[in-house]
Amino acid sequence: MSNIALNRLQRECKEVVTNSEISETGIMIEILNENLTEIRGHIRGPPDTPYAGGSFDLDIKIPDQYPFSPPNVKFATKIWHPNVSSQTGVICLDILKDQWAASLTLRTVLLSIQALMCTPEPKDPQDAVVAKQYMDKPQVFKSTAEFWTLKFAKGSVPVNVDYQSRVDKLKDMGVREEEAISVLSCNNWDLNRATVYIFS
Amino acid sequence: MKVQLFIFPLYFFAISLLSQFLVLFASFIPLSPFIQKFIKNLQMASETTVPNQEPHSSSNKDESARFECNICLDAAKDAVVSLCGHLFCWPCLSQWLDTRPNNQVCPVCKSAIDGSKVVPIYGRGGDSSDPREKIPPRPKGQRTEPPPQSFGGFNWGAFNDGGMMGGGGGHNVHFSFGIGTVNGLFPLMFMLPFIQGIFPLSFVASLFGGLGAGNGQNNQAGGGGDGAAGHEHSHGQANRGAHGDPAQSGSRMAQEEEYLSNIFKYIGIFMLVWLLFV
Repeated sequence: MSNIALNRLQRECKEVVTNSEISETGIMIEILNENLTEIRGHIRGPPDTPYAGGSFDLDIKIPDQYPFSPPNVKFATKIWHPNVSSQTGVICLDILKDQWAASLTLRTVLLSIQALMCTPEPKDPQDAVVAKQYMDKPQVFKSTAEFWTLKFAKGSVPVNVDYQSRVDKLKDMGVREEEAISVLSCNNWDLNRATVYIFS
Repeated sequence: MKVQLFIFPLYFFAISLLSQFLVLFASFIPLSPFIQKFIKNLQMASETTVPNQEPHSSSNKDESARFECNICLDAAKDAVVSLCGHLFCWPCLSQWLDTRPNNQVCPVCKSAIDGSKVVPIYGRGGDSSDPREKIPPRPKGQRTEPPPQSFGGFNWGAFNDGGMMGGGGGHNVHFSFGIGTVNGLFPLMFMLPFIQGIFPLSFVASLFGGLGAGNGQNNQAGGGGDGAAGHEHSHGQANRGAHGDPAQSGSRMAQEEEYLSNIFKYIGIFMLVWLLFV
């Protein structure tokens, strides 16, 4: 990595790692290796969204050309969001692709992702299934996203007993919990279709 | 008479040259101590303008962040500013534009940006950054020449000055004589270049006159006991003299100029009389 990138990243880390940043915006970063190529980001789920109360982790990989190329950012925590792959955590956000600008920093990237969590863009989806549910069945989307937040992001909303019972039924059939949640979510919590999907 | 007409402008040229030398000579000899003082003042003035500002501690973070490059987030080296007003190091911006040749936008506001149209910022500090040969040189600042100051305008402005009687008086003599003795515009046309040629030197003469006046006041103030104040005052006066400000009537400067203008007039008259009768 070039010298400019290293200097810059050090400044960026200092910028984010302040008490006010953690308390006000709920973003935080953690340095995973010494040459700053791998960074772990944390975002607090924004209030008044299905993600409220959750703590979401992101894997940030810094390319050699940074800051002239965007950092590679994806969710490490599973999240139910139209613009994030429910399988891989890949984020569809223009500033992480062609709209990247060298003046953006880790802080602004994390804040942008937090903003994306508040206002999903179902017309430009990363996960088509989630986007379809968001548009067609907003209530189901909301409860599913809340369920995911609770399960994967240590959310604080009371557990949806109905959803949990269906997950447990799939678990009894020998399906891993994570896969069960994922398949049920994709099938709008229709247990029969989910079962057919898994065992066919 | 014909021959005289032909060489008439030449005589004028000679007169103007001679009178200018005389004026200069006259002003140099009695004023030389004043000139020395003036030079001293100038030197002192230049010393006082040497900045004695202490290096600002970078404790005020927000203040220093204002001049940080938007790309490397460090203090901008070889600073350039885009037409949308955003500050970058030239190496950083150049690299940014190189990475996306099809999409040349400002990294901050995404306005269209052209590498050749950014404005370099030249501060006072020396260029301490290492010259990076790899990148293209930082574009030059776009400076436009101010509109040329026409000599005529300056000339007339000076004519209107009360303090320019030395120069102005001389001109008037030439003019009235030209019109009075030879009927027609022809000689006047010849005279014009010489009248203009005369001017810069007569301006110089008035400058020295101003110097003398300023330093004279300095001496008076020094006698009053307040040496420092007197010095300040004389310095201001000397500067004003150098800038060609009109002298106040009745001041020593005006008196001196009047004296010079009289000498000038007499020399002119003498030359003309000599021209006519020889």
